Amino acid sequence: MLTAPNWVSVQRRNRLAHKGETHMADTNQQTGTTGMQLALAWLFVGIPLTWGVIQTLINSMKLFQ
Amino acid sequence: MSFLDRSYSIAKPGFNRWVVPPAALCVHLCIGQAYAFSVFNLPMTKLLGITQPAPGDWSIPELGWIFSIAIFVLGFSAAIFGRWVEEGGPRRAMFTAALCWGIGFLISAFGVYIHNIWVVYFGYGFIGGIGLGIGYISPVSTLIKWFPDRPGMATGMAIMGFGGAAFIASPLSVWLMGLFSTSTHIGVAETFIVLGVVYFVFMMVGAFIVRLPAPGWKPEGYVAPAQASKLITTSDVYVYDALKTPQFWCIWIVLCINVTAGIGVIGQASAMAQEMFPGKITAVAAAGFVGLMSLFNMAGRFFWASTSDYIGRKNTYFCFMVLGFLMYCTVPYSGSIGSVVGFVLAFLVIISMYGGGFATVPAYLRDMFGTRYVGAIHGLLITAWSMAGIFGPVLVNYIRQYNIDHGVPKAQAYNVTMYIMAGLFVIGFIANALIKAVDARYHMKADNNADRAQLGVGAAAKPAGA
Repeated sequence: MLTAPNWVSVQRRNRLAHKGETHMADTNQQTGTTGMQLALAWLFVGIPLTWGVIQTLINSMKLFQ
Repeated sequence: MSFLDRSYSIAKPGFNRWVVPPAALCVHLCIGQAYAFSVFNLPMTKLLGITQPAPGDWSIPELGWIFSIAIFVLGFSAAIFGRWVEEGGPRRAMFTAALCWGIGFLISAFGVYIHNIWVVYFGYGFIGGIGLGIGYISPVSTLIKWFPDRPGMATGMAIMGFGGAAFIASPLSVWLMGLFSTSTHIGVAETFIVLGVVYFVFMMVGAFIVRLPAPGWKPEGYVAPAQASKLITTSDVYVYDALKTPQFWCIWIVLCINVTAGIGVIGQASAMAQEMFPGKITAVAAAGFVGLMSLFNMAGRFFWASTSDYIGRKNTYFCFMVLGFLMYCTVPYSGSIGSVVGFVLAFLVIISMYGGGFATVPAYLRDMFGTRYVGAIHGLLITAWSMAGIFGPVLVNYIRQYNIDHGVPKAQAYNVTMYIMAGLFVIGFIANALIKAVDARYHMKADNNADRAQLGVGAAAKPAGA
């Protein structure tokens, strides 16, 4: 038999589990990644990284001068 | 803050897994700034004197501690928070890392403003160091779960960002300091504030776009091996049980040696090149050599980690140990015959393997201990980096000084160190050769695995012996 504090914790756990399931069901109904989103994600990190690599490459050429 | 919960970052159907590497790069491109912290050293020695150091200004050794504390805290925060990162999910971990990293910069800016080095140690070194540790391991297991077919390549891409971050941070910091500096003021504090805010925003973008695969998700066309191969397990090992296996400590030794060999020469590369080839390599050319080394450090992370998907992790580390031994034996010979090309090539190979070692090790751990706790186990392994951060510079700098003090010409002062490094690779070779599949008694029980797979979390995990 459940004591009072245990009963409260079981109820709380059930509520949280239900909330999680509902949320997961909601997200599963949404659409997936578009090509634009994918390109934007890569450009967001790719542009600064490429700029940095080019800067370093230019500086590295001093070794061969 | 429930959007940070693990359950809220489960990917919906149709989510493209190639969005996850940019999310990981958002974090690693920011925290890798640590490699470029030295650009602040000189300006921070003149905060009071402006044109030259004045009494009361900070010295270079005092400032050197900022980076050392950050790297030390990185290793230990990764070890301490590894399990929390694994169980809380990548979004919560990335958010925490962004918060620590950003606030670390803001506290340091305050420390610079009031000119108190202890505040900077606390801000960048301690708080920022925690952000470094959590941020470094946060995307690793997520990437491994999204790319079970190419785990090396996936983690290689993220950890490549850590190596490449200095390329962005270094010129950006110099430009910002120029922008905020006047004839009576050096704009270090303002630069820290801008960097703190920019890095926080950049890392939060990563935290928002990162997703976990739904339980049971597999890439299209991928068939998971039904049985474990010789060195790739299909079971999981509980994080603290991994510490009881000889495999963990063998990989720890191999990583520590690989990092020791690289980290020692990174800091001393410019001086070493000029001293070994006086008149042939000028200060400007040496700066170019350092730049080329950092490019190979970054490229090696992607190249070696991707290669390991084809040749296997153990074979990749065999390559590191054998090539490392040969390259370190070659350096004194190149110096003796005055071959700049031989010297440069040897160090470029060594430094590519230094980066490659970092990038390949998460996949090695996944092969040995499974995917469930790979992030947490990786966190524990990072302590090898902290130790190597002490061994490497000590081996290079102190032995060089000892030789010079005993009359050895500067051009030959590094030879003993090179042979010691080559000897370390022999130990690493043996440690790598000893790595076999983890004994089944360390594997987590099947019923626990099934429970947690259903929940999509590792919180309910019970170790094999529990």
